[in-house]
Amino acid sequence: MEPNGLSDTEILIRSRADPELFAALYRRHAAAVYRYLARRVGTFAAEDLLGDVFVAALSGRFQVTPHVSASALPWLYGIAGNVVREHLRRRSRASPDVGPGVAVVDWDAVNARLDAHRLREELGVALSVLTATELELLLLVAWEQLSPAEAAAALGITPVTARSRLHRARLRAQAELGVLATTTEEI
Amino acid sequence: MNLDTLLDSTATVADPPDSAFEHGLKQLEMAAASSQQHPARGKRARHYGLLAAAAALVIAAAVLVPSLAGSSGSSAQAATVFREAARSAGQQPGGWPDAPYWHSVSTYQRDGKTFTREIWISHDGTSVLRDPGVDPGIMALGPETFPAGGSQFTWDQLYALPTDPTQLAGVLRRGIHGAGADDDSELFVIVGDLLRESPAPPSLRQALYEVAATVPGVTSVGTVVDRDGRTGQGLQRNDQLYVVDTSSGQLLQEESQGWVSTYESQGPATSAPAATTR
Repeated sequence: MEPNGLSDTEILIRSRADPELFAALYRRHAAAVYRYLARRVGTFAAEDLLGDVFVAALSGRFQVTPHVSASALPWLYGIAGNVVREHLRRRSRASPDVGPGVAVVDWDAVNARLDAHRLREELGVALSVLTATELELLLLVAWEQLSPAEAAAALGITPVTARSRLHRARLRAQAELGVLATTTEEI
Repeated sequence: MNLDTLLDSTATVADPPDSAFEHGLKQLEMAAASSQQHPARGKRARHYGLLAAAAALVIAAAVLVPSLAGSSGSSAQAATVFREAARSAGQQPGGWPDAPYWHSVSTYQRDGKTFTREIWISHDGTSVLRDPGVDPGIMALGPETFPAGGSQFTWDQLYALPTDPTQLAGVLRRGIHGAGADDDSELFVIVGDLLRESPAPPSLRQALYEVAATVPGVTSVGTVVDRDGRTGQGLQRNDQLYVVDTSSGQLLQEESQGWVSTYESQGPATSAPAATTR
């Protein structure tokens, strides 16, 4: 059965009893989830992790209480974030610092996928001044096009806090870009 | 380069190759088949972050306009108001260095409806959130920290902060990490960050208000009636407005860029509700 006419919410609910329905959610959202992964850990790891995200989502379908007429995509991004964090943790066993507050970005992979040296440098400089939370907020809004309120709820902070942190994160990142531009001109 | 342009131009990635798409689908189908044989009941719930719950959020397009009474006052007036709030805050009983949870209740509006948000911030475990505007259930948040500019404090670090206003301002300014062009704005925002939904003891609250009193460019906007009908003093700097009850030192409400949160209560708790598991 191909539940193409069903909403994400209905698939999520029905898949509790009928897990094979989950494939419809995969067909709908695999590309977006893959892009989320590829942006943060590169295409190579994204190919590896894509299935993991949906397998984790499948076993989490009992825990999600979906909204009426909601897309499951933000929920899937949340799971993808955890999968990426786990991936980075496995990879860097040696550095015990990889904890829950660590950003879900593999900078080496990001640098590898950006072919313009200038972009690599600017992105690294602009985002290096942000905290893990600010970085996640900013990227969910800028790269995945979530609304600030969605990102706020994602991180468990009030909309006011998220707005002001996003605002500050932008100011800081933009200021770093300004400094970079000035120093580069001087050279 | 402009930040938005930079983020836009670094967002582009290709869609998955067919092989990756098929591989992932096969992985899922195998898991689905085995999950049918072994129902997932009893499997350990994984923490998915709150994106799960964010799925259907829609922001109201309407911008809330603050209803400010009274005329604008000077920075000196604002400092006086903050110092009064500081004194009152410092006289409150309490100090919760060992509480297991910090329970805060606030309200906010969206789509013309008022939502009540309750958060139980765990001392060193998983925090939980109940917010019907986000999800009908109770959501696990994972470990929470208290934001302060570029740094984050744990509960214990919060209790290790100096309560001498000059020293505290020094620590907080260091934490700003050269944020933006305007450290004063940042410091003003950090004061709110550490007052709301925070187990900061009375001595730290007092010091925070005293730090706020030293920030230049704050305007006293006079008496403000908050969403709950409580009366407080409005203190504004750029787009950040705090409404403070100077007789208790309580932060009643704040507004930033059109968003309004009204703070009902906060205090220690010995337990938190379990995250919803269905």
